[in-house]
Amino acid sequence: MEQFIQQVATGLATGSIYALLALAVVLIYRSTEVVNFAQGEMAMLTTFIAWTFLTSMNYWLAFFLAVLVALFIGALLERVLLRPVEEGPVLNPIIVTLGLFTALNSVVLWRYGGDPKPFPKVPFFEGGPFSVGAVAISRANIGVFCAAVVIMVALYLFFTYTKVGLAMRATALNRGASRLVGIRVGQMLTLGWALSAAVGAVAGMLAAPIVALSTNMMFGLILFAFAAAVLGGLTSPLGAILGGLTLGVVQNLAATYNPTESSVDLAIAFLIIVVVLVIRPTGLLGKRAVRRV
Amino acid sequence: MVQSLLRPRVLGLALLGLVILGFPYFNTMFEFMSGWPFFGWWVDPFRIFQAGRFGVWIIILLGLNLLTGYSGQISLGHGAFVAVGAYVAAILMTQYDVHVILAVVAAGLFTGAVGFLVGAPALRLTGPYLAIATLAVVIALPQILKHDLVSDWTLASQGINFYEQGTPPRTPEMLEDMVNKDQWLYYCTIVPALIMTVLAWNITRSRLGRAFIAIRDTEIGAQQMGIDVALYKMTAFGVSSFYAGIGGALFVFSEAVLGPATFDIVISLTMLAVLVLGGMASVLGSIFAAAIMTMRIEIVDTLVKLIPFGEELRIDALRGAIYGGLLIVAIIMGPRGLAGGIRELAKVKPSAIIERVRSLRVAEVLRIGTQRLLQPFRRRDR
Amino acid sequence: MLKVSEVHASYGPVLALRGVSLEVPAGSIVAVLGANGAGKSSMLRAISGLLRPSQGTIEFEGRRIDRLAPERIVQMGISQAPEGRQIFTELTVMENLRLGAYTRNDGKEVKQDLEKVFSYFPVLGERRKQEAGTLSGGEQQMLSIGRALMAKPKLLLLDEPSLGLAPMLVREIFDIIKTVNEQDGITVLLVEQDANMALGVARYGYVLETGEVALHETAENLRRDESVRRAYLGY
Repeated sequence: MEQFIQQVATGLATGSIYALLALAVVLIYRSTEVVNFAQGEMAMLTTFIAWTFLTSMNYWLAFFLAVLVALFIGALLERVLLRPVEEGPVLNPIIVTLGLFTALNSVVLWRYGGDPKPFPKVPFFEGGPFSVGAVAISRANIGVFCAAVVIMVALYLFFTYTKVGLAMRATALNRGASRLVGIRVGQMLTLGWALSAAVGAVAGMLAAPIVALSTNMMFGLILFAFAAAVLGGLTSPLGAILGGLTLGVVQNLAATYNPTESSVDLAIAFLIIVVVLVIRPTGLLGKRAVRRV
Repeated sequence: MVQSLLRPRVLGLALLGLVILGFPYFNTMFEFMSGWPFFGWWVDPFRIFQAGRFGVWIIILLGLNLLTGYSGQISLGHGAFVAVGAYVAAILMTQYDVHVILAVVAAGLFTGAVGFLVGAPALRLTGPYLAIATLAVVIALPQILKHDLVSDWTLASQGINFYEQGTPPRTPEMLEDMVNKDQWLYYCTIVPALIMTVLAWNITRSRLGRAFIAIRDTEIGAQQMGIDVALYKMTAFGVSSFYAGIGGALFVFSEAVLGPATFDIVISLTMLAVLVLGGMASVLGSIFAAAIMTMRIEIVDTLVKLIPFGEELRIDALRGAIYGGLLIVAIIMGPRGLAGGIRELAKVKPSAIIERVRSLRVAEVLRIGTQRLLQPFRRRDR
Repeated sequence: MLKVSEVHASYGPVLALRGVSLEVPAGSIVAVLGANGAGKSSMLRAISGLLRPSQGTIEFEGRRIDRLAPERIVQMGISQAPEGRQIFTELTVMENLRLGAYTRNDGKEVKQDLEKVFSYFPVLGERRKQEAGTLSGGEQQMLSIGRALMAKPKLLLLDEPSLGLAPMLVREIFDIIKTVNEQDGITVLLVEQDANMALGVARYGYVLETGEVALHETAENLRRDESVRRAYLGY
């Protein structure tokens, strides 16, 4: 029983990373209907940049600067690469993000090499495990979960109570009407990408201590993030969060109680994606999109 | 009779045929040219091996083009089908001693069947959703290949190799004097490539091809026209994976080893990239794409030499960035790729070009040129 | 106040407006009539900056606006309640209205205008916390107009406000249009298929046919005109 709770706790921690990444994907999808396949690689890039910062400053400063850089990179990518293809066939922005995937991966590999690098955990949460009765939950896991919660709450407050947040929600719902109301849609899209990149950066920095910082660290993670986003519904931020947490827990439990010898987690993620997409494409919480003829 | 045989088209095809058939012997026939600046390249024996690979890529990319270019089903998982074909062929040949030709055909049919069935769940998925699902396939496949249930055949991480048997195919005894191993390998891949190219060409011009295009352009419209979208979508997947399977099986010839990571996400994305560059929805485009794919390392190496400080900057390690970058630029500028550009060029009459050029001054040309180049990037907020 | 001169505009290869000219004097209500596809909505879109004219000019209070960005045009005092309402379905009524005032900085006056909108459309006040998508068609139309009013416009563009609404609701809405024009001094450019109601409130009218102005008269004269009566008024 204790082991069960422990696994659930660990699962929630990894799940919060999936949730953050999924949230980033949903953020962009809601506002632009583009699935950003390069989300993971963007996160990976900013995490490497954070690693560079860490060599000359303390953790929190590096963290903060990395997020700033992420905002800038996200905005830049949207403005330069995505803007030209936002109208036109839906396939084109997808292909651009795929090109970005390859390019970013290669650039990071070129600059930093293929060896995994160590990445520190969130400082607050160092030290021995927290004990609740017979259950020992690692402080690091709590740290990850808390950090993710903080981000989600911040985003929720931003979108619900600020003018810009409201404008972004409006842009995601109806671009034409947003223009008529005086919203600069282009700026909102850029902001969407910037925020998404920032969220991804946080996810990357939380994940790096766990999975080791390397150029392929995000391949598995992004698959789970997509699975979470699809499960929750590509248009639902809440769905992404719940999906991520659920998947984290399920993955952990499956790994612990897995009867077979070899790992099956990626295969399970794949299965979830396919099953959800076939049975209920809008996911658990997404809205049904009407196909315009 | 002789008149019609001498028409340029026929002569051209005949010349092409001769070049294709005779290619492996160029290095011996034209050995004297090996020092020459341009021709030396063609005469290098390594080209024979490369040409064989070229043939394999043609088949693989034709398959991808039929699915993504013609039918509009974006599939990031093509690499997974190639891997399946490769594994099936390798397993049949190493563990069950199946004859080469049989193994290849079996690989193709098996993969085609798998693809056809995969098409069923894919029916309900469009655009980004399909992309996600196929991405999931290709990321999850290495793990599946290593799993216990199949590791008896796939030998898990270790992969399959042909060290014991020697890489097939072996030159039949009869011809051993005339055709050496490399040359035989070439023929074994080029001939299927030719057959599959002609087959693809026919498909694109047939009812099936038109149905594919209809589905790509307007799925609901296609349904209204009476096309059984479900069946044709599954067929698109089936045909495409058949090609992938054959390609994968032939690929196995030239590689001595095959592992779960041989066809991973990176190569799947590279395939898509070169296809967009070469030209989607065009057989010629697939051929260009295959050429780029075969030569990609050399192209990057040439770039390294051309760019100042290329070697110090280690541009060769940036090859992924180059493919990705080219892909992005290509899709922004216009997605018809090289083949499209050539078609455009072919439409224009030389006299018209000369006239136009003569009437413009340099400054104007520069201005119009840069304007068109930057057009996609201009601020478009409407 | 608004002067549209010889405006041509197209959607790709399709020509929607071929040399449309019209004038909207300050303080008046001007109606634009015409069949579907005549170019009425295109004209409003051009005025709001969503469709760029290939030829011709649009002037507002003496300044050219045809090349301005949509948000600038809203700031200058033109707002539109578009065809089909186009409200933000997943946002609340309140949020929709607040968005109408997006370009404004005067917080206190925004609050006052909000109360004014609720006084015009009490049902919106009752449902202010509801998701806009759950409102009925008529309520959504009111929300659309309310949202446009929240921009404190000098010129209000209305695109087919009566579309799909029951006659009594249409009368209500047109009453509000009249009130807004007479009491708040807002100039109104009204595109309508319901020519009866439109000509009932308007001072001037234009009839568009296939992208051109076919007739322009005072509303009185239009109502009496034979061809207009037969084609648009049904008698």
